[in-house]
Amino acid sequence: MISKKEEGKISFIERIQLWQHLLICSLCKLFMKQNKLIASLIPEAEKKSVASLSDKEKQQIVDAISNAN
Amino acid sequence: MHELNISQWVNEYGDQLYRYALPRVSDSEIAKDLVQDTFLAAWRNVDKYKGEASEKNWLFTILKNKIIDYYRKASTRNEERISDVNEDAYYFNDDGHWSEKAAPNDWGVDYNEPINQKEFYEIVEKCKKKLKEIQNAVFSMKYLEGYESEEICKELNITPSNYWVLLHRAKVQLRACLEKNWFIQ
Repeated sequence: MISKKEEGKISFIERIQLWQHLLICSLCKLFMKQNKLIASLIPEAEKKSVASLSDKEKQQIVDAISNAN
Repeated sequence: MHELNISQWVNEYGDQLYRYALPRVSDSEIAKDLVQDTFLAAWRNVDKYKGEASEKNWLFTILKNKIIDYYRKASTRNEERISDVNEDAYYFNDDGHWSEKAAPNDWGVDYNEPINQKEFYEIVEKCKKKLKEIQNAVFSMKYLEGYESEEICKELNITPSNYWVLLHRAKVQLRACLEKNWFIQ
């Protein structure tokens, strides 16, 4: 339901149920905070990536395409 | 296109395409295959390329389609569906509350503060790799591509309840993995 709320896909009844549950469930509140942080960091992983193909891997791709001719 | 051009292409765009594919499939071999398939498809269709988009955009469009195809195949292979209760049993008790061994711990960080260490992002990749293909597909479509849930359900041919369960399981597992390998070691 937390995921649904995040996307705004939550009904009025569900919103009240979630609110009620979060009042008593401190772990769920913590889960929600932690996931919000993770979600915000996921796109960063791509920006910070330094992954690359080795020269050998690049040559393998070139060979595969040449051979497919 | 002759071989020289293929080499030039691969040298110029190979790494960029690979860096795009890798976090989306979380497997270096699969990412490499998708990049190769992209170049192959581009090479086979080079006659149809009219130069309207830049070469780079054209290659990225092909790669994006290849990634969606890969997600669709992962969805077709997915036998899990929501009836797999064993997976939840580790994290939640029968009454639906967090199990003691899997309950979240406070990380003692500012939850609004971004994390800049590149080592953290290596851990993120390792943790994403542990997700099932279909969970990673749902998670990546949502958090890397920003698709709406309806679009994801349609593309992967899954029901909304399946989608929410898969997304929830991906989040629960990723959170636990990051806690164990980074926040609270």
